[in-house]
Amino acid sequence: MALSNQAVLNEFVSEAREHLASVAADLLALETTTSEEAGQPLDRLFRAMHSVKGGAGLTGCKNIGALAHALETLFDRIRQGLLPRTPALTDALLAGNDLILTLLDDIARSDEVDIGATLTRLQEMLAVPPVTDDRLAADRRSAGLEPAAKRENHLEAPPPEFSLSGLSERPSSHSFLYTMQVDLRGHQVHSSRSVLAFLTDLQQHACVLDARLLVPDHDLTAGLPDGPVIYECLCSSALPLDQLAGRLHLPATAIAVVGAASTLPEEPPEEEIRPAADDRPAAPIETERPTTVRINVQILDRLMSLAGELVLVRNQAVRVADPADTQLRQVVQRLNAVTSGVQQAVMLTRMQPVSNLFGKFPRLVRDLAKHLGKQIELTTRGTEVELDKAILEALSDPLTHLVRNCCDHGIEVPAERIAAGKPPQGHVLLHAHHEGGQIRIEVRDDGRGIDPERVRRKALTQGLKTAAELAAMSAAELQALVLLPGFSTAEQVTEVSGRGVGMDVVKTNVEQIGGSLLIESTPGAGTSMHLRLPLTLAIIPCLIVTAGGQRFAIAQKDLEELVCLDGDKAGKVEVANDQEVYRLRNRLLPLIRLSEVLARPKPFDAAARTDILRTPRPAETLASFAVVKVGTERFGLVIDDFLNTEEIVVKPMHPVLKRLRIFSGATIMGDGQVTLILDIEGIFRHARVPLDTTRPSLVAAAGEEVEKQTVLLFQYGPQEQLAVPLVMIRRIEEVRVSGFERVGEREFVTLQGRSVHVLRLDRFLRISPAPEQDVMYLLLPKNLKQPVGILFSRLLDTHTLSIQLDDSHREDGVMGTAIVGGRMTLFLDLFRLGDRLEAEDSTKGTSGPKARPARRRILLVEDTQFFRQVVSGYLEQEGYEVVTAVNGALGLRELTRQPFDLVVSDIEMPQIDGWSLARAVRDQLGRRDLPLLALTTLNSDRDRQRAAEWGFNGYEVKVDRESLLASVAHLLANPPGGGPSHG
Amino acid sequence: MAEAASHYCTFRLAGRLFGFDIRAVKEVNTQAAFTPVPHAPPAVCGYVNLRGNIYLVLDLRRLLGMAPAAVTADSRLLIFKPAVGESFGVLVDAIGDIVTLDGDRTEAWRPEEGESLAEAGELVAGIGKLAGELLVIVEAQRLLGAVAAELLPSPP
Repeated sequence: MALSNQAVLNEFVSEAREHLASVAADLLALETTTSEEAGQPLDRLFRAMHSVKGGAGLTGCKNIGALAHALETLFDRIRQGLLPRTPALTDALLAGNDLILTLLDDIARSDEVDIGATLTRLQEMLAVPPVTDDRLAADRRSAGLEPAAKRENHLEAPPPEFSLSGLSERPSSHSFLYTMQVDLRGHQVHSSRSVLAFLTDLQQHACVLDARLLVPDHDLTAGLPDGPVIYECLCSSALPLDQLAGRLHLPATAIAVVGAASTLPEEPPEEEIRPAADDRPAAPIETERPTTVRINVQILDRLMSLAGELVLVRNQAVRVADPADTQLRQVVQRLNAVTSGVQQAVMLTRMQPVSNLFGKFPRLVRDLAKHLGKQIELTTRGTEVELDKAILEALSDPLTHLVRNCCDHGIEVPAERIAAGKPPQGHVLLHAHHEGGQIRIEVRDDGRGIDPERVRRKALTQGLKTAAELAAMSAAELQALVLLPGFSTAEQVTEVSGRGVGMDVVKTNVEQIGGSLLIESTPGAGTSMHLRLPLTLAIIPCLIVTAGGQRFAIAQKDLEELVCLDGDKAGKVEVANDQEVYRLRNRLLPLIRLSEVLARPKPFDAAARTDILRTPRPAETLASFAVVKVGTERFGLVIDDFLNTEEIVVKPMHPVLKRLRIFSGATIMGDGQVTLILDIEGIFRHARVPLDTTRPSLVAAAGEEVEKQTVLLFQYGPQEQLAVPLVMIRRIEEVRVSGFERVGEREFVTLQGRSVHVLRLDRFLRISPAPEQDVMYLLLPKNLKQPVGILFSRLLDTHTLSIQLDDSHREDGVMGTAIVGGRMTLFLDLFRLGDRLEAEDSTKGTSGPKARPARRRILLVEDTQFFRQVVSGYLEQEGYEVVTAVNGALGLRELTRQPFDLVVSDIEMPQIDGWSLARAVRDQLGRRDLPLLALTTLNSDRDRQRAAEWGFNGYEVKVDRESLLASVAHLLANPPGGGPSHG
Repeated sequence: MAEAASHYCTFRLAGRLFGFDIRAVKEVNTQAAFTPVPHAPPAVCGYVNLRGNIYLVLDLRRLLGMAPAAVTADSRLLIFKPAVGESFGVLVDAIGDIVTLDGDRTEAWRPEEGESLAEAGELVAGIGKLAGELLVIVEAQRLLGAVAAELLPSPP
């Protein structure tokens, strides 16, 4: 090698990779484009190879230089129309490109590789004689192909492209700008003037600003080649076109005026010369200011860790700042904002577009389709979406596997497709997009889909499930079985995908980077694989817990929910064999006590388990546990307490301690202390939970709550994620804090002529303060007595889920918490917050339960836990005694067991719905005197009428507290039929 | 032992004088609040945060086979340079002076010389003769290996 300098080599390798990145895609595009469209990609291909060749020459990489030269020559021939574009040619070009990429992988030894075969193949392509059919004739860039005098079509050929960087050097008298294309050999023959004479003329009459000579693959020392020698140049001249052509003995068609105007604009926009949307940064457009620089990854990593340190300093500053010192507080808040900005910007440096990943798939799909005898078209969408470099790299294998699966198992052969009434060409879609702070990638095909029956048979023969288990599964559950280890639905093990690597590996790989994989398939119509991925790995949201007096972090990706055991619930802890289990919604959840895991360095054995079970524990020590997941398994990790959620910068474990499998890393907390991050999978294996206790009973789980709620997720301070169901929101307004009017401590904002009281959540709840920013948002709840707006700083997302509120973090103004999108989320009690704001204003308001002479008993029948909690909360605050039932059947049972003064019932419920419940109360129980109040989201006159027909006495729409309470009071005071209410 | 003079960073453990080659030591720190690492060998004190970097702190008393002692106001953290091993340091009872010893003032370690250090084994590089006191020279490069060895017996 001429230059063995490693730095230069590295530079060359990364630059060459950049140049070659789009070569395969452009080549494939060429196969389908018409000759008119092919100019752009061909020029790009030519430039890319030219740059690589140059770099290889500089670094002395002979093999790469030779290959690049061969490819460059071919590209040039193609764009001149001298070579027919055939699949065989594309294959050869792809092979050449691949070989260069391979050589780049081990650049130091690139010259030791035998490239003879590929090089010969490329050179043979050069020997293919020019074809003269019509299509090709049109394909040619005619300059120089035919004798100059005959070229009538010249103007149709696109003018040569040049950069305009040299424009300023032209003489000021030169008001014309031309591009010119001349076949020097042809010119010599037809004008009987030597090349030298032509060039002398040119120098005399024009100022050449840029020029190039396109010589076919030829050794110039042997004299000029037989073919055309194309000279292209950009020049300025004082002469008009026809005069210049005359002086140069050229036909006027050989010269083109740059742009539409015949005079040169002062600042010619570059589009005039480069008309198409070629915005690749790699394109050598000298007039463009460079917007990117190459930065060493190590420097970025250093920057990243410094940003992490800055976050730490910020956290410490926030803590030590004296709240009374307003000046200092302002400085700290400013530091806070700047730090967040720096952190975000540094994170961005690690982001790369998914196009880097998607780029390899057109080639893959093309090759697979050819190999499998199928017709497959690939579409990629959302290629501009950006992901952390590390995630992108980790995603390469799983995604490749999924795409292979689509082509191999999904898409049918053309005959089968036609028989099924589909077009013969199958379609695979790769689609990346943002959703709720995550990236989603969908891999979809329109193939045969996953046949649940085949999955059932396979699972049975492979002994993965019993016949009884399979019989109870829905089609979707059956389809999801393909994600189990050891499963492959392909009847034949094919060379393409049946290589013993199952979908379970894909799923595991995706989960390792904090993502998830879901399958959705319609037999006969196709399959969709949905991948959800975090934006970055470097900073992860964690739940901080305590156990054994020490703090630990659990990554949110491992967390499913938090369960708080109090009084009656604690009774559900059972022992199966020698394993503690908890029955959570009909599913047996093994419990692992973190403090025991920490105290026992050896993996649990029978003796340890017995020991743990025998350890006497006061009831209150089983306070709460986190439901965490390991693959498809779930277990409850018993901890002492939850502290908060925090975004942490993950640092790896010290190499000496890598063998400790119960920790995955460490982090530095706001107070400067180091905290260990729990490895949930390692804990699971350490505790050696007997597998039979972890089998979920799918049948039981299927009967869970079905009604889903859409909630708005937002932030007030940077730490907490807050949620309010959409049904409780009137609207959201963007407001400016600077526009608030202040009356003493209180803040108001005028919206649509009304003065709205601004509620700052940190005055009522223990949450972090809002960042100092002028533009904030105001959430205006429905059905509040006073116009109150909840102030918040950031809108996050909306999320549809069945809400399971955990009330262990209940405080006045918060209904409870739930894990939403992997984060612990506070659900606000808007009515309580409104009440408290009002109470604070008037100072005389008492907000405790109101005393009533006789406690009235109300049965609340509601299947959604969320509404059950909300509504029973309202009723209890009014002083009623509330009994709840989760569906109509259980409601009826309660009615036969104890007396009630009123029933409030939802309409849409599983098993027995509200209509049937009302009918049963009136007809079967004969209770015509019991007031029935429908509480529903249905809000049409038809529904109201129907409710009355079925026996309801009142009708309320979820959830207008004031109206509901008024209705309840009214019905209790005026029961139907006037008879005694107790039966 | 080389004839040229070497500098040693000295410290005390149970009253006795020890030293590391000064070229191994990066800094001496008063920080002594560790985050214990459950399941780690007994010789691991835990993690400590120094200016945003996490260091592993080892209990040198335990590594040298001495009885552990509580952290006092004199206790110091000796952090080693990266060349010695990845981000780690040791806890010592008290820090001493920097001493310079000519090559001929040090000699190989003979275990019978100090029974209390019988377990220290290959961690001790040699003995330096100071006026009125012997200096036990500890090989910093071998410390991490000794901790890793403690972890080995546990089943995979």
